[in-house]
Amino acid sequence: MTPHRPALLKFACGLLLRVAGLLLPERDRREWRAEWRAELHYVLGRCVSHWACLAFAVGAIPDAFCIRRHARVSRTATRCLEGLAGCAALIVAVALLLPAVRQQILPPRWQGPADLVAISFTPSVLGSGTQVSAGQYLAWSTHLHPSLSRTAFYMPVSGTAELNGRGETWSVGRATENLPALLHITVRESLLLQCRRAAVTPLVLSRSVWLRDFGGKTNVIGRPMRFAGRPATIVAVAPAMDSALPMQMDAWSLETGEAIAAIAAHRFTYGYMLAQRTPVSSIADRGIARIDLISDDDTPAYLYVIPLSRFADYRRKLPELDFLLSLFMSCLMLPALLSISLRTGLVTERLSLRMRTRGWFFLFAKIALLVPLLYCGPLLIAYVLAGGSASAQTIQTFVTIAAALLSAWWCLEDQRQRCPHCLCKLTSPARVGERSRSFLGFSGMEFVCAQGHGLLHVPDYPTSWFASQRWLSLDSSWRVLFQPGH
Amino acid sequence: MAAEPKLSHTAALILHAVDSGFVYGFSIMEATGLPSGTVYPAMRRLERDNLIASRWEKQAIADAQGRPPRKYYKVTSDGKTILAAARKRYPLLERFIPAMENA
Repeated sequence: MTPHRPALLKFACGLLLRVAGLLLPERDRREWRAEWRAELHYVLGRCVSHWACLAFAVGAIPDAFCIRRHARVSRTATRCLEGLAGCAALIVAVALLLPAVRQQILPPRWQGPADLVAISFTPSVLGSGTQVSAGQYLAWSTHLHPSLSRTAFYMPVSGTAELNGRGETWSVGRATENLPALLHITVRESLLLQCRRAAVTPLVLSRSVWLRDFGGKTNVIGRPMRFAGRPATIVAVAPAMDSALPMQMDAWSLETGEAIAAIAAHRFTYGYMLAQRTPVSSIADRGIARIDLISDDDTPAYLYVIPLSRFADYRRKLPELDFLLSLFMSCLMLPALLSISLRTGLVTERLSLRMRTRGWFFLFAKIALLVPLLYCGPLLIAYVLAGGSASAQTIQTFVTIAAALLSAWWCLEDQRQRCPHCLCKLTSPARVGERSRSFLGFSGMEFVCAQGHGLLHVPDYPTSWFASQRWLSLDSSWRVLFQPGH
Repeated sequence: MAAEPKLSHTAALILHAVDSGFVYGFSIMEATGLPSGTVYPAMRRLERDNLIASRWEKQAIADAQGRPPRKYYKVTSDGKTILAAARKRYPLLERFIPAMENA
């Protein structure tokens, strides 16, 4: 045995004991650990094999479970909340460890230039109002509003990108050549010139495609590929700004002025127009502002400028909005799918305000602890099943709805199965009823609270005189039967 | 005791080991050949049923020998009664574990 091995072994065994100790109620934990540590001291001193020492420490786990069962702690309200909190913490930690999932949970704030705006017909980041035709873009570019200095345009098209012999469908924006400069994306002039000479389309990749399809490799610049059957060369990778543009693209192909004019010749070619505010612009920094149109084209008399940060802010909130929508849909479906209610004659006596408050607090605490589980769990499942593909969103929504329904059912069912006095789960059957032939006798289960607070009668099937479960409180004279030792 | 608990062979073996002078967990493991995951939970159940009782060794004694204090177990009077019945039920118990002084 090398000198560092015993220390490592002692550490590993100590860690096992510490973890197993967490299973115990706090009042027993200290003494239990002291006994196991003392025993471990002798086991390690005997110089038995490493595996024997580890096997000895592993034995602490069934021992901890045994004490836990005797202490009847697994059914108390506190243990229930602790268990839920532990699960929630674990799921959130795992979700935050995975970069793709973390980006969904904590999307980065838009750090791009604050002076960039999108030109729109409507003062909203939603809908097709943000689209303008290529012809309008050309007309407005020549008669630029004094508040704006530069403009750029891109028109979304989809096509197949051929990468290493396999085809991927990309959404590509056919953009004006000045788009990278407007978005502060550095493109090597020589590479652009080379593309023009060879009649090859220069492509600017979005960061998400660069990470997804190229594994984030740094040597993609200058790499030839084919898009929509045409030869193309990757000339740059955009920073993480997809979320701030009116429409997210996988890449942008930089088109010459002639190509854009050819696009504009078609009447129904719509795209997105971006612009830069002048330093002395009167347009508010973050707000949506209206500008009067200076054009003799047949268009509305005014337009709106929407800062790109607005699009970023909206997209940052999208996962939360989707989650809230899923929860709302679950709430709508709940009464139709589950026939559980909290007011089904659970308690036949009047409980004190303190007890009722405690019961409601416990219910709301369970729901509050389930929220992070419901938010991060479906994200993880969608990530595992679909990765970064478009179906991930659908999977996440369905899993969220299903999980929310299941959680709601569990919350209510668990609440109904607890003693209203001590909130312990009622798992000890006092009587198992048989089905009555005359339907007059009680048929169902009778559970007793382990601390002697009362009995819960749960009918097997609802009858007119016993439709739902009933709680019968036992007075304090019964408690003596439930003391330890009896 | 209202109803005498019937011991399993393992529990009887452990109770017999404690009675034979193996008074702490690891020595019982060595005497019976049972793993820790069996011995300690069985001892918890025996203690819960009041068949064995535990006490902590004095800190001063442990400190003098430079080791942590141990928890010692001994058979209670109830345990002795039950063990006598178990010995009749499992006559080979004494062959498995000889008394400490003979071991």
